[in-house]
Amino acid sequence: MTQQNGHPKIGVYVCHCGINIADKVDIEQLVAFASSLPFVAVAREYKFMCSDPGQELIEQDLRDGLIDRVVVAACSPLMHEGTFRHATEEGGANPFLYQHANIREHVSWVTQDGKLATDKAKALVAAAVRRVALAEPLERKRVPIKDEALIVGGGIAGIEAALVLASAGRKVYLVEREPSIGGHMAMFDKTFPTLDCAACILTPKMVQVGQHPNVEILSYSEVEEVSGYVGNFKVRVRRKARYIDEELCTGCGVCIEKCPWKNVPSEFDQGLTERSVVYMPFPQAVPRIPVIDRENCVYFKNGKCGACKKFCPRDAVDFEQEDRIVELEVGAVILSTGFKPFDATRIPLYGYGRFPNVITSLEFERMLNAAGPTGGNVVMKDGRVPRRVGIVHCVGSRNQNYNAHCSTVCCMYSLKFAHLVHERTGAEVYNFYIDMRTAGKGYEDFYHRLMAEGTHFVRGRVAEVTDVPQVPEEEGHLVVQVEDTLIGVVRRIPLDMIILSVGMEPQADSADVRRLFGVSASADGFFLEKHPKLAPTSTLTDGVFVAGACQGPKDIPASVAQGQGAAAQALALIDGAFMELEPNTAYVTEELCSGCKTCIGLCPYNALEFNEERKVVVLNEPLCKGCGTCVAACPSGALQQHLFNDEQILEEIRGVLVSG
Amino acid sequence: MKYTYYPGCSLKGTGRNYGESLTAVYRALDHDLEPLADFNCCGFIAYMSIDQAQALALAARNLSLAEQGGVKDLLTPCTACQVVLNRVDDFRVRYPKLMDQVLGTMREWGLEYRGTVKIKHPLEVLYDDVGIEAIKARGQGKLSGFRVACYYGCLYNRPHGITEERFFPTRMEEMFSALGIEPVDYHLKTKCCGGSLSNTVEAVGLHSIFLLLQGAKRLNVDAIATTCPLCQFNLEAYQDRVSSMFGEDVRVPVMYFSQVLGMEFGLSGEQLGLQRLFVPAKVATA
Ligand SMILES: Cc1cc2nc3c(=O)[nH]c(=O)nc-3n(C[C@H](O)[C@H](O)[C@H](O)COP(=O)(O)OP(=O)(O)OC[C@H]3O[C@@H](n4cnc5c(N)ncnc54)[C@H](O)[C@@H]3O)c2cc1C
Ligand code: SF4
Ligand code: SF4
Repeated sequence: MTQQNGHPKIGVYVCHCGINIADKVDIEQLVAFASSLPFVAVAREYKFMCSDPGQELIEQDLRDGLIDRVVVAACSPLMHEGTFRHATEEGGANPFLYQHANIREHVSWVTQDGKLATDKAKALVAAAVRRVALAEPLERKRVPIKDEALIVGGGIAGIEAALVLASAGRKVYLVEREPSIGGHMAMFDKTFPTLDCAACILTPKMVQVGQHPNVEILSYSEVEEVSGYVGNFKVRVRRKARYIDEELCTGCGVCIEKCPWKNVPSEFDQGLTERSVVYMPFPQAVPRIPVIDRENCVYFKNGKCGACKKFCPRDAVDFEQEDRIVELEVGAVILSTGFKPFDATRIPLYGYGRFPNVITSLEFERMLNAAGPTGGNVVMKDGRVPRRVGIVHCVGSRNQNYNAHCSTVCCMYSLKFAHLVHERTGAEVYNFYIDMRTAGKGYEDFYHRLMAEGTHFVRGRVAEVTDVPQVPEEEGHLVVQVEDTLIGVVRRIPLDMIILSVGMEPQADSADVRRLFGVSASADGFFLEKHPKLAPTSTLTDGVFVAGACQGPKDIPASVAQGQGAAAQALALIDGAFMELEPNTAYVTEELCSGCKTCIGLCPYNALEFNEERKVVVLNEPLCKGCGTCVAACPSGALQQHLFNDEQILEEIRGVLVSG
Repeated sequence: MKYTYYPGCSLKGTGRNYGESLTAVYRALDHDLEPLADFNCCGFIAYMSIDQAQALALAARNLSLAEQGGVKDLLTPCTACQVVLNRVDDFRVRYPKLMDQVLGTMREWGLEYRGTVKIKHPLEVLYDDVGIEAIKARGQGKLSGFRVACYYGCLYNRPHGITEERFFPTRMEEMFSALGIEPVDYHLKTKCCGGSLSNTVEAVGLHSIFLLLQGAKRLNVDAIATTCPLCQFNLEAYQDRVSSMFGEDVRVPVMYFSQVLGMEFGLSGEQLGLQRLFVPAKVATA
């Protein structure tokens, strides 16, 4: 054996893992085999090595000077490598003089035959012993952490996260691409299940964020570029030109009033009303600074008009303004970019876009809102009050042709609609559902309340909405054709107005946002969390967190909870002044580097740079994730990796090959 | 260009005028349309429900012949044939075991099929390959103001084919509008014509036919245009019966979309097989 460490004294500890390992692997034989290996000073066994007494065995042997490096043969290193490194350190040795052998997932759980299992365990232990003999003490490097945070998306999830971080005394940048924060919740009238008025609970939060000295809202802005790494992200944000000076503007609204062009369909009102060219999306907008919509502005078309500029008491209108780039440095990022409602025109049989009285749920939310197109009155396109209203659940959801996933909120908001329609019009209401999913706290009560109110519940997916009558009662109405699966008949139900409860989809640009921040997507396209149960707001990229509907369909309570959770996670990260890096990085032996630059393009984390003066490659250590790609590619052997250098790996392989 | 089409049983029987008019219209647009040589029955639904593997082998035989002949796009005027032929490729993915059986049968016949043939409706090819511009250029204004209910039936692009066109296709309307013909807003355009139920479960089949005719009649159309021989037959052949059965006169000409195009192009009634219609269309203009 190649030997560079004087005479190492290795301790080998074999774990039974209850019966998980001991049932298949002959522990006694394995321990005897381990003791016979070169440089092994001690070999022991224990029922549960990860328990305190188990760890104590290691620590005591180290303290007694019997051994100076450690091998544990147990479960996967994913579970307990950290535990035993820590024990090694507690015993007074460098934690990297440690090697783990996995004889559970790789052996006892997958090998039927006891003899074969024992042989395999021997090979793995021999390999670990040979490798640890060459291990070198390593230091964990510390890098400073930026204590500011970035939040992308100012819906309820992002707002909530910003408030938590800000009240913990951290500086927060809240980037929102629309002129105002608020997200979808700002469009609603009432919220289930308690029917609180959405504005009454949302606007105080918006104002709070707007006024908080620790929050800087960058509205009408988008992130363009991200570099750096956990604790030290560098972010470029494009602040789109509003053509209004944010410093000077007081939000008095004179410009909006004076603008003579008031016929642009309002995005916020789903095109149901018109707004002026200079506008705020809604009265409670935060920040209270209008935006001039350049596309439609007459001044930008022919240089005429300029009414807003003439009348602005603060001289805040600035037609010369250009997009600005702001550079931020932050320690953590929270993505809370929300969802996109399903486009109902994709299901032509439901008649959206063809029949004026077939509307989407978002349009209906605006109709219900006192500040919306109808002043909160539920009316048909011709102004009449509907006498029979249908609400179609699962539009674009739970449907293999569109989205297989459940939108989780549409049952509940459809119930909310049923209640509000009934309350405001006295109309008869039909809810067409597949399954009624009311799983949140207090939600089932709400369902029962609606049943008591006399809402008709028809269990069946609507086949079609048509305006072609078959019997006289259908003349002049829209007709829903549906199989009522509870009574087993096909029904045709004439109605005046139909609301399509559209589902939730990832934002149209979600793939671009994911790429910017290095986040993956689950099969349905929403941002992928690190673990569905145990790390729901973390992602596989350290320092980037997710909250709200961008991670999957969810309602306001769940979005708020995630916003607060992600903020706490981010806070735990940026609260430390320093961050410890794993020492398993690559390193360059400059004398060997020929300057071929093969490695530079291969590194997925951009950790390698070429030094023009010395004509060699240098490594930016904090960026290196230890993936080893460059090490494998370097033709000169100039790149090596701590914990994985060539000799260590070769010895490990020899250990496997010669053990039997 | 030369196109190959799969006639199926109807274009040799009740739908003869469909084949005639398609060929004439393609010719008028400088394209040749030739039947697939030595074709056989597509293995239609009735056979499919008795012996799926054998029925599919029949379908696959046609595709195999087309593949051997170097045909990339096999034009299939009958939408029921389309469904059955499309099943071959679809089942290859979804039911590989069944397809092994089918390909086994084919081997006994000394045939193989690699899956290179695409099934296309002649309407789709006119729209995509020939193009609206060329069609418009060929128009003669003969049918300007002619009111048509464009009827695609339930099998057009269902369940296979272009997803967006499953329930609300618009190609026929776009083509007709470009020629000055007036497609009406016919919301029943992808409802089922009753298919073979007009023979088997009459109450259901005839009711479907009645509703479709009534819907068109109430829109004051000069004709209904179809893309499927089965639809054409159902809608045309039972008109007297359903009118008296449901007590409303719903008689209206029912033509193939290719006949409408041909009339607009100024082709003769004979070329288009118009004499084979039960309910002759009156062309508004000379
Ligand atoms: C019709 C309807 C009714 C509903 N009713 C209720 C109800 O009564 N009760 C309830 O609990 N839930 C309800 N919901 C669900 C509720 O809308 C969501 O739970 C909630 O909006 C999720 O909040 P969010 O902050 O995650 O996302 P959003 O509200 O979608 O906010 C996301 C924000 O991020 C911004 N953004 C997106 N991409 C970017 C980007 N790239 N850069 C910068 N900013 C970006 C957006 O502009 C937006 O402001 C309803 C949903 C619908 C569709
Ligand atoms: S008039 Fe001037 S100060 Fe008032 S909202 Fe418009 S830009 Fe701001
Ligand atoms: S691949 Fe190796 S030799 Fe080439 S530049 Fe990188 S470190 Fe130097």
